[in-house]
Amino acid sequence: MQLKDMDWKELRGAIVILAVCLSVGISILYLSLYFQERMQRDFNRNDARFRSISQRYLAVDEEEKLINEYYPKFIDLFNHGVIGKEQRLNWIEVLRTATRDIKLPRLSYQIESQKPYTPGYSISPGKFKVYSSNMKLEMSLLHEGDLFNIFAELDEKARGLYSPTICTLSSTGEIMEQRDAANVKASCELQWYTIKLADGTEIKI
Amino acid sequence: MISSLISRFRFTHRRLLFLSAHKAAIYHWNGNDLGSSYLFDVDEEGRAYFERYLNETTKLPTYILTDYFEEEYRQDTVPHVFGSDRQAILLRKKGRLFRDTPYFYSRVIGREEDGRKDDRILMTALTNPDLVRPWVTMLDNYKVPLAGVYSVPLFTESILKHLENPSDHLLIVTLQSLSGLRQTFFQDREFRISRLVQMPRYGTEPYAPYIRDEIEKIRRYLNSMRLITEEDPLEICFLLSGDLLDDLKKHHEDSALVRYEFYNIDELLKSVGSSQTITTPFSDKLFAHQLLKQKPRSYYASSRERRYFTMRTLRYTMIVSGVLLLLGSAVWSGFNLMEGLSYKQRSLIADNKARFYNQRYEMARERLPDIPVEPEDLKVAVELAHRLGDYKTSPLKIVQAVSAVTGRYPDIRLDEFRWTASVDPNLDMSNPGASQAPPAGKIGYSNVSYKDTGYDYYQIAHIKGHLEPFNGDFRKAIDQINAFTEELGNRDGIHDVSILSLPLDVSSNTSLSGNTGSDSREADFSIRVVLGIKHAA
Repeated sequence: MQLKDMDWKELRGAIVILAVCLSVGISILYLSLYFQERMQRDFNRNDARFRSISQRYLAVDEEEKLINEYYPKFIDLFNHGVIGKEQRLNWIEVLRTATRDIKLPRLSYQIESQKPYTPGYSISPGKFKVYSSNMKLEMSLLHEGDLFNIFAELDEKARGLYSPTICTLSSTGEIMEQRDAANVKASCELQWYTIKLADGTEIKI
Repeated sequence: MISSLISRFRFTHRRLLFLSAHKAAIYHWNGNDLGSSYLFDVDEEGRAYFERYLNETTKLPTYILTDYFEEEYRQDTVPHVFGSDRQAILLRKKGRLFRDTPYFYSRVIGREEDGRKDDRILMTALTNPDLVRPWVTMLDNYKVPLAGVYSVPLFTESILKHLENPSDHLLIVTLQSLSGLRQTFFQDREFRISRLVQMPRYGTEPYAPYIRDEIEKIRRYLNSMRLITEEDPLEICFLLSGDLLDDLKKHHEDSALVRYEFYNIDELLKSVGSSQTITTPFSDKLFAHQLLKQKPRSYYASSRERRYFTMRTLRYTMIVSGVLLLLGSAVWSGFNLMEGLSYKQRSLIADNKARFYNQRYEMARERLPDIPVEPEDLKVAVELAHRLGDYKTSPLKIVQAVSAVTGRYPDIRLDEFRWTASVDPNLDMSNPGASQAPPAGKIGYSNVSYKDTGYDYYQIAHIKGHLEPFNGDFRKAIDQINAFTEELGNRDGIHDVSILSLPLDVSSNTSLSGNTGSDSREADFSIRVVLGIKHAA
C-alpha cells in the first residue's frame, strides 16, 4: 500500500493512543527509576552511617584504651612543641641561657622559615603532616665538649624535637687554657620538627 | 456508543460477502461460528440495500468469496527466477492472458523435472471485473476493511484436508445456492480446472438428473484433455445432503474407472466445528465457515482495495503496542516502586539504628575526655613523633670513637671535623644531593652496601689532620695513618673507614715530585669514617 492510499483519519486515534501510552509509560518509568535511585541513595547513606556509628560504638572501649594510653603522651608532645605550634622563642631563650651558663665566647643563630618535611626514612603520617625549621648555629668553643653541652641544654630545656643534620668543627690553631678562649670553631644545622594536621586545622587542647 | 466501542474492538468478529452473478449473501462470524446472514439481489435495489446494511453495521473485516462463470484458469511454466524478474514475467503473462482485469492471481505449484526445471505456475483471473468492483467500491466508500477477494473453485482446495484419503484424480461436486453446480478437478491434490453450471431454482425440478448429465460432460472433457486415463480411476466426491445425496447414491455405483464418495455437508460442517445445521444440499455455509475460520491470504484484491484492512491492522498494532508498552512500563515501574519502597523501609530502619547507636555512643563517650583529634589519630601522632625521635642523632658517638683512638697516637693532630647523618652510608658530603652511587674504587668513597647491614642510619664524618712532629719520613707517617684508620675501623659500630688523602700520594696515576735534600715539615691527611646506628630495641 502506498502512502497516498493512507486514510490518516483512520489512524489518528491509534497514533494519539500510541503517543499517549508512550509518553505516559516513559514518564512513569522515569519517575519510578528516579524514586528508586533516590531511595537507594538514602539507604546507602543511612546504612553507611549506621555501620560507621555501630563500629565506633563497638570500638568505644578500644577508643578509651587508646585515649588512656596515648592522650597523655599527646598532651606532653603538644606542650613540648612537637605537636601543634613550634616554640621558637623558647629555643632562643634556651640558647641564650646555655651560652651564658657554658660561657661560650660566641653563639649566633639563624632560623629559616618552616617548610613541609619529608624524611629519608618511611613514616605513616595519617591525617598529619611533618614540618621542619632549619636552625643554623655558629659557635666559638673552648673545646669540642661544649658543642655537646649545648645539645644537652637543648635536649633538656628546649620545647621541641630537633636533630642535627650537619656539623663542622675546626681547630683555630694554638690551644689556650682560658675559660673564654675560642680554640674550636663550630657550625651546625639543626632541623626542628613539628607535627600538624594535614588539613591545616589548628590543634587545640 | 459503548456498544459501538466494544464492537470496534471485537477482534474475532468478521463477515463474508458471497458473490454470484445473481445474488449476494452476507455471513457473520461471531467469535467461533457463523452467525446471522443476509441476502441481496445483484441489481440496483440489492446494492442499495447492501449500502444501507453497511451504513447500519460496524466496519467488520470483510472477506469476499466469488463464484462466477467468468473465472479462467491457466497453467504455464516460467523460468525459476525471483523478485522483480518474476514479477516482470508474470505481468507480461497477465497482459497477454488477462489484459482487462485487475483481479489476477498466480502461484507456483511445482517445478518441471526436466530441462531447465522451470517453475510450474497456476494463473487465474476474474475476467469480468465489473461483477466485483461495485461491491468493492461500496466497501471502500464505507471504509470497510476488505481482507481479500477469493473464489469458490480455488478455495475448494482447502476442503481437501477434510476428506478421507482423496484420490490423485479427484472431482469435487458442490452446489451453491447463489451460483449453482460447481465441479472442481484436482490432480495430485493440485487445482486443475473447475466448471460452474447454473441450476434450476431449488425445489422446482429434481437435481439428480442434472448432476448426472453434468458429471458425464466433465468426464468426457477430462478424457479429452487426457487429464484422466483408464489406468487412473477418477474419484468423484459429492458434498451434498438430504434426499439429493441419497438419490445420487442409488444411481452411482463404483466401477473400474470411477469411484464415488458421498459426504453429507451437514456432518462435514459439524466435524469442522460448526453448530450450524444444513437442511439443503447447498454448501454455501461450509465455504463461508471454512473461509472465515481459516482467513487465507487474499487471492484477487489489490493492496489499494485492501487498504482499510491494512490500516485496521496497523491501527490495532499501534494500539496494542501502546497498551503493551504502557503495561510493560507499568510493570517495570511497579518493580522499581516496590524496590524503592523496600529501600525506603530499609533506609528508615538503618536511620533508626544509626540514631540509637549514636545515642549510645555519645553516652559512652561522655565518660571520656574531649580530645582534639580522633582516638586512633592520637596514636598516629604519638608514634609519628617517636619515629622522628628515633632518628634524632648527635655527632657525640663518632667524636667519642675518633677521640678514643686519637689518644693512642700522640703524633696525630685533628684540624677539621665535618659530620652529617644519613640513611645512605655512601653519601657524598661534598654533594649531598647526588650521593647514591659514588664511583667504585675512588679514594674517599666507601661504596659499601647499605642493605641488610642491620643499621637504621649512619653518621658520616670527614676528618682532616696532620702528623706533628714530622721529620720527612713519609713511610713512617703513612704507616701511622694506616694503623690509626685500621684501629678506628675495628671499633664497635664503625661501618667503614677510608683514607681520602695521605701525606704523599704514591699511586701510579698521579705525578710526584720533591727534594730529597730537605726535610718536609707537613704531613697532612684526611679520612672518611662511617658509623652505623641502631635504634634502641
